[in-house]
Amino acid sequence: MSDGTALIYRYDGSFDGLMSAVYEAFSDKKMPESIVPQGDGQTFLFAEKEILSDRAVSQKMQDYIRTKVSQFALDNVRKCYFSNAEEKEMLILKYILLGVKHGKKVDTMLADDVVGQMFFVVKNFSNEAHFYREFLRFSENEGVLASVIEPKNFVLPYIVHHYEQRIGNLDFLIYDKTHKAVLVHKNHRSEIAFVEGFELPPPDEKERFYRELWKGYYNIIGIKERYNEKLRMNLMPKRYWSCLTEFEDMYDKKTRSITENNKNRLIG
Amino acid sequence: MFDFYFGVIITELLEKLKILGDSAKYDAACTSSGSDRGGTADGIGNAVSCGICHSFAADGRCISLLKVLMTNYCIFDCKYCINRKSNDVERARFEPRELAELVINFYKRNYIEGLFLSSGIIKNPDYTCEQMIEAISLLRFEYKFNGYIHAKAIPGADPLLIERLGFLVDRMSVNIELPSQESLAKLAPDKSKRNILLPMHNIKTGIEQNHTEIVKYKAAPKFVPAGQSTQMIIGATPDSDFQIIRLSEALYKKFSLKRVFYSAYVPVGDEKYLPSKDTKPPLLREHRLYQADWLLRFYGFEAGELLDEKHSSFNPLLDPKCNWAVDHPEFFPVEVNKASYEMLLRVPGIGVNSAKRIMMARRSASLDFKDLKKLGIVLKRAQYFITCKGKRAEGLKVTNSAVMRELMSASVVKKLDESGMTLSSGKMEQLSFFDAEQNISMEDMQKCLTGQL
Repeated sequence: MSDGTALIYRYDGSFDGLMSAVYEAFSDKKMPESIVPQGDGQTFLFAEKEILSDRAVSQKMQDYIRTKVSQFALDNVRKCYFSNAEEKEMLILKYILLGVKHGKKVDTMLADDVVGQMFFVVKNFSNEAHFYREFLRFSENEGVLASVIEPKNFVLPYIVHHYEQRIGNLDFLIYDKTHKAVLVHKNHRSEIAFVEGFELPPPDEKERFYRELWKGYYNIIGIKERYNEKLRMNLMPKRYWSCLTEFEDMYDKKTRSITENNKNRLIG
Repeated sequence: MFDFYFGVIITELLEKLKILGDSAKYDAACTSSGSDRGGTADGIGNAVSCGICHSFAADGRCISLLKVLMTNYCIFDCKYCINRKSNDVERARFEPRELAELVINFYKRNYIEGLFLSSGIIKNPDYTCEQMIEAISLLRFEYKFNGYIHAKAIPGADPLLIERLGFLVDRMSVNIELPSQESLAKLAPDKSKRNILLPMHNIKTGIEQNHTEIVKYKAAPKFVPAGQSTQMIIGATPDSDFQIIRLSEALYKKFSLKRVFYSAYVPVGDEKYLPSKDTKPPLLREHRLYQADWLLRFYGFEAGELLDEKHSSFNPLLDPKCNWAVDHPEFFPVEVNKASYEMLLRVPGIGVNSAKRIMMARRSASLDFKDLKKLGIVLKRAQYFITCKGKRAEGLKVTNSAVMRELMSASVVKKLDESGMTLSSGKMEQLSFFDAEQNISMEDMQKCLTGQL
């Protein structure tokens, strides 16, 4: 289909697929108009090229980035791929092209548009991944710790190591509602799978007990004379509140606020 | 393992937790930073060097550790303390196992990063310290808890007990509380400078010895690996900002402290030496001290550069770094493409991250103002103090009042506008500290907490 007109690459949505697409652009010696995953709206204006996901090609591409540019650059590419940035595929392609042109120097070219964009995407991604080390809560049910999160970015691959280190001797699962993916850690092994849905089981007596203790503690630990709602919201953005045990039964998801009759409890 | 839960009456434990959390909450330290270790084969927990906050309370303070007292019974009668023996409050005491169950169950639900254990003095300092050692040993050895633990060293306890405690925890702290001996004598008659500085000194020596042991023998047990910290109460006594930061500076230099915390005094009683009960906690003053503290630790400033005998209080309108820059026009503007890292750090609006990014970006390109924006550097304040390739920012108006407006936080500007005051330099001095006091902004607080000044 490559007849000189603008072209769109369609890949299977996997990282290997994206790396294969980048490789394709190299061999074509021509920039595609866009790179889109499978199932992402049909395009009428442009011709499409189907990219086959090839693991060996992907590996070659990654080795190239690691040796010719840096491990840091490869990490950026991976984080960008897992992010929710718009047009992230083209950003990755342009970033890698820069790497081919300038080599290691890319790491210091912070004033370049593409490198600057990549920086903000990666920063946003890493911030959210860190938020899910902070603002994630497990519930225990029949010996398994379970949590439901709603991240914008696909952070599961970047928080798994942290929780393995932390509670690796226990069985746990984290369900990502946004991406319908679940991280299951069982018998010291972790796996991420895509599933249709997951709901936390209703808390048993012991679980309710610890939730009450935590809420009780949370509500007394603030100092009344220092009450500062804005500061709290700034440091712990509201979008995380709905998944936090300390706001259970208190947070109205629709209005994104603490329900009126519970406000006083929070002020201590 | 025996399941403790079924033996406990919920309301009783909840009450206990509330009492012992409530009485611990005036301690500002809640950080879980400074230790870095992976999980263990058969235990639970790890530690991350940057520390992790798990929630923020209604006052915007971070909740990282379960911060409780072992007990709030106390034989001491420190006037500023809510747990003083003469105060009529509910008292409670944790059983070691109760506390251990609580920590483990909070920890695995990811509520907390670990434990911050302090205690009122029961019977005597040694006995109190032994009780803490018992509870923490249980947690470390029976429950195999490998997460973060911060313990308060009890002033006056036997050095050998403090040493034992130090091998069980990540961080220790001895609170100075009052920044001068006079204040201490007046308000904490049971404590003495010696009782506070001696354990601090012992911990420091312990850490140093431990470091040489670890070099020789890698598996040597670690002694207070996350270092020690302390806290000072702000506004309970007439001690000046200058006295306080000079003391902080000495503590960082001489005792190698990791952190000094400042805690705005919240009135807890009517004592003749203390501010009256309706005094608001001096939050802005506390905030300025934290800003100055960051300047000492990360920005290469010395206390004597920020304040002196004549100017012994921080400017309520400007943060200490802006204040220094305004007082030292001879250093500015600095050329972004040539200035040293140390000098970049002194530019208002350029923090540690920004300075590092400039240093890096400079290696591959000569930077102009547009480039700085791409680097994510906020020019609002910085533009008055820098040049790019020898040029000032385009269209920049450098009048005194324009510069001052940009340097002040939004809340201070608003306050000034409301009061109808103009920024002629004479008037600035007259604004009382307490006018600005009530109005500490979120923006400022955030900057202070993240250390970007």
